[in-house]
Amino acid sequence: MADPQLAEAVQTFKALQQELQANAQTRQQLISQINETEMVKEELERLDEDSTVYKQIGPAMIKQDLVEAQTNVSKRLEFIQGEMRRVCDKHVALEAKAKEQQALVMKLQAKQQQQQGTAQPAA
Amino acid sequence: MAAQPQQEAVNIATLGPQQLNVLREQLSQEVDDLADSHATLGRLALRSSSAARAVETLGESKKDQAVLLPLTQSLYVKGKVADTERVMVNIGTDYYVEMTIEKAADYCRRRTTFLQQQQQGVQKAAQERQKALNQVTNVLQQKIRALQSSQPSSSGGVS
Repeated sequence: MADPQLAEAVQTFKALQQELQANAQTRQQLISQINETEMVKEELERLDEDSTVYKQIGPAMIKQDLVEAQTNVSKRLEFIQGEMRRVCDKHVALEAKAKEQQALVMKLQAKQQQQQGTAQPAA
Repeated sequence: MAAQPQQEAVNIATLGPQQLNVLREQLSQEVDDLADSHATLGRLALRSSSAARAVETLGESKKDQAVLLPLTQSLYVKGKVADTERVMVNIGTDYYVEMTIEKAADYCRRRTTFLQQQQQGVQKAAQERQKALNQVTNVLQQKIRALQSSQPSSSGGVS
């Protein structure tokens, strides 16, 4: 006879694990975005003042001012780094919750086994 | 590649066969993923170095020289070289820069070097993982053999 409390605790634990996985995936995406943006930033900084920079917006290439492009890329990098910090904090919090939940599940499992043990007298 | 932020150093001799198996599969997956990364980086580095050569060749050609432009992988059209001085370079995140041939070739070469360095880093990591995988596999096999020898085989049956 399944203990409903145990079943619920297991569900919550599984949900937390899925959240952790989704968070880890987001983290990977952010890492690759940070890398790419850093490379673009470096390239833009290497350019001469009179260089011609274009940004692709949809199917069109729009000429951009070099300084403006550099600023935009810097701002974008800061934004992504902020997102990254958020994601890392979330990971720490989720991990703590998951550990707690796992301990609860094990406690309930032990309790259930105990109860089943006393409920079944020797055949 | 599922990377764990911290990996506690665990003495694999203390782990049971089931845990060892889980670890073994995890390491195996990591080795495969690293091999994929290594191959991808190699392809990209090759593309970069081809681009450098292509740009240099363009620079050496003359204006209005006849060229064949690919429309698809098997369909080409005749064209003429328009500009042997400047090219448009994709530097990432939808940004393009008009560069001289020299600067563009330099960009390509720098990118090639960067990708090759990344590739070497990945190779090192892959070798380390493979070593760890071998160790775990050995210990696992030892433990399995130990378990089998301590339990008389049940297929023996009474004749």
